[in-house]
Amino acid sequence: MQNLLKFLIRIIDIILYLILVFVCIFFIYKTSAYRQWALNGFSKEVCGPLLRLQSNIEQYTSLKQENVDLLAQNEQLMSMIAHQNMDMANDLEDSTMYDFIHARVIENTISKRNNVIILNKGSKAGIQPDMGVISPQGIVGIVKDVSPNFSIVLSLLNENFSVSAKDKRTETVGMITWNGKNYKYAQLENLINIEDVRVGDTVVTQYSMLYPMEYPVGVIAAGTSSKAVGGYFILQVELFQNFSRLDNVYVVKSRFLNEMKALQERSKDE
Amino acid sequence: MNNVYVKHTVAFILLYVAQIFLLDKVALWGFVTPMIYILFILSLPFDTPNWLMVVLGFAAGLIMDSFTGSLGMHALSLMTIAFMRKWVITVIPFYGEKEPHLQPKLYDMKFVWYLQYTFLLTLIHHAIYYFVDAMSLKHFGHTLWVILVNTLFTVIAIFIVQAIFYKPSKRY
Repeated sequence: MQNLLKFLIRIIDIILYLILVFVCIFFIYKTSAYRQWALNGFSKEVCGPLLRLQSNIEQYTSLKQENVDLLAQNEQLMSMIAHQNMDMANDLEDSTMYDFIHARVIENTISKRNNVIILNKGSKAGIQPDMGVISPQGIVGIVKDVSPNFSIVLSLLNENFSVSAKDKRTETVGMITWNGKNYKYAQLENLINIEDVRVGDTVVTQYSMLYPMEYPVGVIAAGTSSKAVGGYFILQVELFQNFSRLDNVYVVKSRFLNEMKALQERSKDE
Repeated sequence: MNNVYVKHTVAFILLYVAQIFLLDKVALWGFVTPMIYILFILSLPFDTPNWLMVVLGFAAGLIMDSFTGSLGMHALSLMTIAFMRKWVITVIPFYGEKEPHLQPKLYDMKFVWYLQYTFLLTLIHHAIYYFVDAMSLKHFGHTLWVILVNTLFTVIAIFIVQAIFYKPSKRY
């Protein structure tokens, strides 16, 4: 008995290590369990305020660029108003479909394979999981988890992110994904025919609950079209949004999100 | 005795502040982020009991995880190098006297010894971190490239910090 005890004490580090490895693996696989822990426990109280302080400093130092971006956004909005006046009747239904919740990015990574973004607003501001996130320049990601004051967003720069998109000019439909190599380029996958698609064409989102219709994503970049398994083509898309300089974003709240979710639940039950 | 705890706590805080506020914002060519925070584990004294190394590695990794939103990845990789340090030290040929109360420092050790020590542990840490990050062997070559380049930059960063901030210990 004493020998056993002595033996156990001698290998206590190995036992401890193995136990904690399982804890880590549990966190890594049960990502939502981890996020719940991170959001509700330590992060909210300690990291949240610290990260906010940091993003405040960053926001101050990038005010100049921010101004330029806001001016560009203003211009865009003005042209949208002008456009809307012309065919008001058509757009009315579409424009009332979405509410936008403004939020600021307090943590963002770009150098990993699976990047996440943390926003400074959460369920108190009306944010729910599965809402789309956009910036004035283009799409950014999807809300994954929320706490009362913060939300975690699955960045476009994440293996688990995909959204259907199309070439605006030729209406060629594909899927936007990210291969993890360069934060400036995403990939437009599952293309059947790319003969008409030209370099410089704008890529926009398709109709969905996540993003406003035809919201910009990027432009088709030069070269590098490759054929994937099954004869589908892949094109490089240069993103409009520079993810290394992400600050002001809007969470897209579709008026019909809950209705849609309820419908999906109901059809699952049957 | 107290002095040691204070010293390592201060080092921990400074390294984490530098990592979170400065280096995490760096992304050279989109994928190079030097991870200076592992120096906290690398510079713990030689005579730290191994179970304490594991616990400290886990705790320090988890704290880094909660700042970056990564899912236990820092905890797993940092804890592993903390656990394996004992064996890594025995593998690298050690010249001169062993002084267990000392911590591994650039100025106290031979340059080659410190280079091997830092490189091996950094490589293990980055290998675990980036393979868990990629979650698959699909882009094996690319992940390997990312690991090697990041290891290089982390080692350089650690040497710079060591050269500037870690003064040689007094010999008895």
